[in-house]
Amino acid sequence: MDSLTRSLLSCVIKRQGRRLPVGGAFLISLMLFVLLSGCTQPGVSASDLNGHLLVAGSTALQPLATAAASLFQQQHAHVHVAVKGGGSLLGLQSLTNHQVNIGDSDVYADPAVYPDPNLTDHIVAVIPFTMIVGPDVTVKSLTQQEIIDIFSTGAIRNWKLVGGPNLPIVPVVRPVTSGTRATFRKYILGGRDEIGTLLRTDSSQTVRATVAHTPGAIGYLALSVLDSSVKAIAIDGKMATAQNIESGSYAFWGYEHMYTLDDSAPLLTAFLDFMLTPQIQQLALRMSYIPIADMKLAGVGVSGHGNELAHSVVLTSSQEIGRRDENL
Amino acid sequence: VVGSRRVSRNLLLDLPITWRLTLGFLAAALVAVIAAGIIGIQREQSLSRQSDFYQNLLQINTSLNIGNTYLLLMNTKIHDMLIDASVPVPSKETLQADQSAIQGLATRYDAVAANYVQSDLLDQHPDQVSLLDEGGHASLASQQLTLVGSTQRTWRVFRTAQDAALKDILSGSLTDAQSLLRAQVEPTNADALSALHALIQFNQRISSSVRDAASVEEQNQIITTIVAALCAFLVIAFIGWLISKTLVQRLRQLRHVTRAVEQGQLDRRVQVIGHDEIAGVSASVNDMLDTIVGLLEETERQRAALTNAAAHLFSDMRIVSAGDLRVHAPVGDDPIGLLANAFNFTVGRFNHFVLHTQTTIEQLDTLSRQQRKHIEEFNLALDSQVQTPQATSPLSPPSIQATPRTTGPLAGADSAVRSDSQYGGEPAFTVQAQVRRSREQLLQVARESARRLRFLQDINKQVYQSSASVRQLIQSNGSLTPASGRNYEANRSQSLVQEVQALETLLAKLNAEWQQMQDGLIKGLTSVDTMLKVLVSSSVRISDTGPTLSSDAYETVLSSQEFTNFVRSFLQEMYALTQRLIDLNQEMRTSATSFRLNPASEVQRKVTGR
Repeated sequence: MDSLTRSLLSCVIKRQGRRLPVGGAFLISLMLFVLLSGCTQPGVSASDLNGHLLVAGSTALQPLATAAASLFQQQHAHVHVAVKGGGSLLGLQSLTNHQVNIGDSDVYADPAVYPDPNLTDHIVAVIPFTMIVGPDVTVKSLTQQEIIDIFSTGAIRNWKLVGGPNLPIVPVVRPVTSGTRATFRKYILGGRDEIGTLLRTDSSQTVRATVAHTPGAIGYLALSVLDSSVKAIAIDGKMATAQNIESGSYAFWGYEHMYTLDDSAPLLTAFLDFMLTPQIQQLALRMSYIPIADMKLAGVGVSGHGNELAHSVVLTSSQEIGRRDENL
Repeated sequence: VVGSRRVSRNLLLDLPITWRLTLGFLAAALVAVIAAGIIGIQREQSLSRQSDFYQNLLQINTSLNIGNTYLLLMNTKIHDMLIDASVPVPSKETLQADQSAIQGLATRYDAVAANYVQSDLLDQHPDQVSLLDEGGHASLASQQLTLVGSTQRTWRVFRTAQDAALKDILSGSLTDAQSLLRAQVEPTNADALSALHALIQFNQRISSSVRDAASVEEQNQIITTIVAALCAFLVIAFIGWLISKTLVQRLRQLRHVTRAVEQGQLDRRVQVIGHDEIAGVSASVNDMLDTIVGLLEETERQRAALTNAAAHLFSDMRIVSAGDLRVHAPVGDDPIGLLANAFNFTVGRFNHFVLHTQTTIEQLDTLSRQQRKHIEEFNLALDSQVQTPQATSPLSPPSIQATPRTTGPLAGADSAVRSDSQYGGEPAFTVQAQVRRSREQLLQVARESARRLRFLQDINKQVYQSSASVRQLIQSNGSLTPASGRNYEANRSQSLVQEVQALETLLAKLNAEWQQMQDGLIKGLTSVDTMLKVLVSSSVRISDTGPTLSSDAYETVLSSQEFTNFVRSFLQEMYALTQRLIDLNQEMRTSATSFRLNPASEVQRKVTGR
């Protein structure tokens, strides 16, 4: 009886001792397999971008685009981004001709002119424009009507009529490819044509130089290319500040568009996203652009203000319609 | 380690194994269900979020496209209105209808835009923002705001220009209106359309972002699935480990204890923990071990007692084989005790037998001596009888002298008898009377001897029987004695048996002698009797005839001489036999006296008192 009990006990004990490992090993290996197969699936990493991008268009956006491109190239060693100027409309034309990847523009692409349905608008910043005068002009501010009279109707031809020195006014007019000019016409002149010294090349730098070196000259340019060689003056007493733009009291500003045709390319998407990163937006702020994040509520929900302003512009302009330029 | 029942700290150990397993399986199932449920709910939520988002996008897209149509229609309508107004006599009603249509379109577009701003902004849908966040497109919300801002701005500029143009048309300044249309309304309309187009395209970006987010979420789901499965596995494994620990640990302890007990550590006991089946088995094992150990100790004790008793019995046997039959071995209920009892019985019977034999020998001795005396007396009487007619009996003395083992007193008695018979001298009457008397005496002696002999024969038989039974007993003792290590004792018993057998042989021999002696005696006595009868009759004849005796007397004397000779030879034979008997008796006595015996009464008590 004793030996029987003993053998039974030893049998039970042996079975008991060898129970766990087989099933456990199987389950663990199964888990590992599932884990590994799960981990191998998401493999697309944004770190190894390569190729090159060609950016052309607005000279107003060019400084920001150039800075952003160099930063982007620093971050991605195999990427080359070339930024060229040429004007907003040139950028859009180059884009629709597939000559560039990104067309910078200060203005909207007219669906009638650029009917490509893939043409996609990426607003990367807000660019304030300002009226500039030469250092010899002491006038600090002009009303919108005075600007219309200077640029379009020709009613004001001497600075002394607007409280300045006795100096003939020389309006500097930009070529038709200029997005700044289009904005100026739409939002300040109410669609009127311009008169004055027509520049041959569309470049903010040329405008600045011309205004700086021509006595009694008046022009307009983006805040991003403004420097101390010229003087910025207010419109209706309002300077081109973010507050004034956001509140709607300053109308001479535009969105900086980066138009693309093919959003599916990862490099393109990455660059466009990069333009919206806080790094570039801060850079834009330093370069006198207004980050679009700061423009969140511009026009949204505060429709009354801007509407009235635009109304008044059109109402005043509609009474004195002079020469019309059919080029636009 | 002496086991003790201990109250477990682990409550599981107080549950029966069945309950424990059921609880474990239920817990495992619960964990698995929770894991599966978490995965399923996450998946369901993700899918419903995506589908809601897509549905929302579809609606937004539709309304934005309608807005796009409104913008296009407004542009067309204002040109139509200008054409209507350009006719020589413009219909005021038509113009009014055109104006109200344009204003209606503008109102509807406003409604679409306001609706979009109010309800379709991503910022107003945190779940959508969170979904886009997962896809890494958090900036979309601010981009949307930017685009909406641009749409609003262009729309406002367009509407202002349009309103101005309308006013111009209605007031009749068609040239102004026309230039305004071309310079401002059309470009701003194009801007508004472009901005709206951007907004519509933005929806596409959102949808692709949602797709990204969905793939990210799927990835997350896979991770969640893996983590949940891993967690469930770990928890289930933990539960299994917990339960198996409650089983295996104590079973292992049980095994250790049983191993230890196997190897002889009989004082090891299982520590009983908890109240389940294993605890029960452990307690049972402890009880079983206790019982087994108790049995082992009992057996050991019994064996010691048996060995002790056997040693005692052995020493008793040695004493008995040394001849001292006064031994009384202690009696018990165990085999050795029973053996001792049988041994005692045997020894008692043997003692009894030896005593009996001694008594018989004594009696035989007495009888033999009496017989010898009688023979001597008879011889003497015969001598005296013979000397009366003749001077001497030439046969008698030498015949008696010839016996080598003639003792002193016998020889003396012989000579005394002879002298008596020499100095007698009696008449025939006296002779006759003497002869008659001697015949009577002889008859008496013969009868006595026959009786004695028969008695002896009986005793002999009895002795033989008792010796046979003794031998049987001893032999059975020998077989009762355990074979192992009892050889010496067996030898002892064997020697005892041999001795008894020798005694038996001796007795048989004695019996034969007795028989022989009896036969001889009867024959002798019969012939003596016949002779005496003849003598008596002849002597009667002599006494009757008186004077004519001489020749007859001579004959009588002659026959008497013959007779006397015959008697003498018989007597000699008898004497020799008696002497032989005495010798045998002596021999038996010496062999019997080597035993030291209990008194007969005690033997009786011992034998009967078993």
